[in-house]
Amino acid sequence: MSASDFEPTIVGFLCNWCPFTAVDLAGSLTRAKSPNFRLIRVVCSGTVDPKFVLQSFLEGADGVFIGGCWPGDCHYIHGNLKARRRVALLTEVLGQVGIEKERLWLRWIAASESARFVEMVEEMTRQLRVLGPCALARRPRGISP
Amino acid sequence: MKRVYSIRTHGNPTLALRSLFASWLEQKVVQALLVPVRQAPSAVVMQTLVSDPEELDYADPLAPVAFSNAAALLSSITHHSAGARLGAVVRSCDIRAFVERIKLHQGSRDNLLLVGFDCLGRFENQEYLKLCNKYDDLTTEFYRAATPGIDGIEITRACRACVFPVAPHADINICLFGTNLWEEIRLEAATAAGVSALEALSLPLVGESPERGAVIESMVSERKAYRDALLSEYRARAGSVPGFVRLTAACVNCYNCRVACPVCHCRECVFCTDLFLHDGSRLLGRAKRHGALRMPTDTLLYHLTRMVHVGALCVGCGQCSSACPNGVDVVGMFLSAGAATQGRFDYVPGRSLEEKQPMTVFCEDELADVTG
Ligand code: SF4
Ligand code: SF4
Repeated sequence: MSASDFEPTIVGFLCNWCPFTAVDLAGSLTRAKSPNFRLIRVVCSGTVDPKFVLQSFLEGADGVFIGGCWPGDCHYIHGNLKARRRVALLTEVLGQVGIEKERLWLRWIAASESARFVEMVEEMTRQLRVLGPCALARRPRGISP
Repeated sequence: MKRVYSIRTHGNPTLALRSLFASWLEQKVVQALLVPVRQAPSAVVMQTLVSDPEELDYADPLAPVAFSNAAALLSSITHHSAGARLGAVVRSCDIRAFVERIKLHQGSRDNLLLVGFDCLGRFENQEYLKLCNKYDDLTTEFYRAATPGIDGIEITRACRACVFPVAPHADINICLFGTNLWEEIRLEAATAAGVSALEALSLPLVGESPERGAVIESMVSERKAYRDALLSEYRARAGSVPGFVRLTAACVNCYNCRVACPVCHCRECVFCTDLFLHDGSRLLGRAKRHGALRMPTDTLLYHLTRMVHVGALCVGCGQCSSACPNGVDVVGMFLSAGAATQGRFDYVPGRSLEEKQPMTVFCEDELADVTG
C-alpha cells in the first residue's frame, strides 16, 4: 500500500469535561468528524487504562489520541497528570515492539479550543499517513491478538 | 556503623554458616530463620522457615539454585507480623524485589534480620538437578570453580546479566568475594540490628577484605558488558512486531511467568477474571473480524500489559524464564522493557525504600515532551 492511498484509523479517548466540550461546542462536532477518528468519551483522561490503548492498537488502530484537560483544570484534580505518566510509560513499552511514539498522542484541550482540536486530528492523520499502517494492527496473516 | 567480623570455615563454608545460624537460633537472636534447605532425600533446595537448630543439618544457604524468588515468602512471613523476631538468608534479587513489595504494603522490614550474601548466581533448576546427580556436594564444587559454571553448564542468563551481586538493605552481608572461603568468611554488619546479632556471638572483629571491592568492581563491569550484549541481541531479534510475535509464539497463557515473578503483585490478575473468559460466540466474532484467531487468545495483550504493569519494577531475577514450560525468552523481554521504563523514570527497583514507584507519583512540571 503506498502512503497516498493509506487512510489511518485513530482511536480517540476524550475526557468528558474540557476536550469533549470542545468537540461538541458550536457544531464543531460536524467539523471534527474526521473519517479517520473514532471517538470514545471517557470520564477523565486519567481513566484511560493502558489496556484500552494496547487493545486499540491490537484491534486495528494506527494511532491513539488521548485528550485531557489542561493541568489545573482537571475535574478530578490530577487525573490528567496521572495520564501523562501512564502515556510516558506506554510509549516506552510500545517502543519495545517498534511502535513509533508518534502513534500515541496525549494533548491538553480546553473547552474553547475546538479549532485547535480539529487541527490536531488533521496533523496526526498526516503524520500517520507518512508512517503507514501500524504493524500491531496489521499483523502477519493468522496472528491475532 | 559498618563492622566486619570473621568466622573460620575449616574447609567447609556451608558447615560454618550452619553453625552460625544454629547459634542465632540457640541464643534467641531470632525465633526462626528463613534459609535455603535441601529437601532430603531430594536434591531440591527450598527456602525453609527453621525454628529448631537441629533442623539445619540440611541447610544449604549457598546452593547455586533458587526454585523461587524469596520476596513473596518474605512478604508472607512479615505482612501480618509473626509477633516475634525472624531472620532470612536471601539473595540480592530477593531483597530488591522485597523492597518493592514493602512499598506496595505487601510486607514489612520490621522485626526482620535480613542476611544477604555475595551472589555468584544460580543454575536453571533442571540443570542444577542434573549436576546434583553427578556431584555429591555441588555447592562446594561451584565455589571451587574458577568461573561460575560446572562442566560447561553456566549460570542463568539473568544472573550473568545481573549488576547487583551484593544485596542492598541487608543487616548483615555474608561476604564471599575477595576472601579465601576455605579458611574464613567475613560478615559485614551494616545496621545496628546486624551489629547486635553478631556481637551476641562474640566473634572477632576484623576489617573489610582489602580485595572485595576490586572483585565486585570487575564482576559488575563484566556483567554490564554481558547485559548490554544481551539487550542488543534481544532488541535485534524481538524489537519489532514480527519479532515479538515470533518471541511469544509458543506461549500457552499458563501465566507461570506471572506467578513466578516476585514483583507481579496484584491479588487478582485481570487475565484470570471473567473479562478474559470469552464464550464461543465472542470467539467466533473475533475470528470472523480478523479472519483467524490464535488460541489461546490475548497472548500479545498479556505480555504487553505485564510490561506496562511491572516492567518498571523488574529486578531481573529471571524466575519468569525459569518457570516457562515452552522456553519463551520472558527474561529478555523484561530486561529490555525494564531498562527502557526504568530509564525513563530514573528508577531502580530495590535501590531505596523511600523512593516512590513511578506509577504511584507525578509532578506538576515534568514530562513536557509527552504532550507535544
Ligand atoms: S519479570 Fe522476570 S526477571 Fe523481572 S522480576 Fe519478574 S520474574 Fe524476575
Ligand atoms: S510461562 Fe511461558 S507459556 Fe506460560 S504465560 Fe508465561 S510466557 Fe506464556
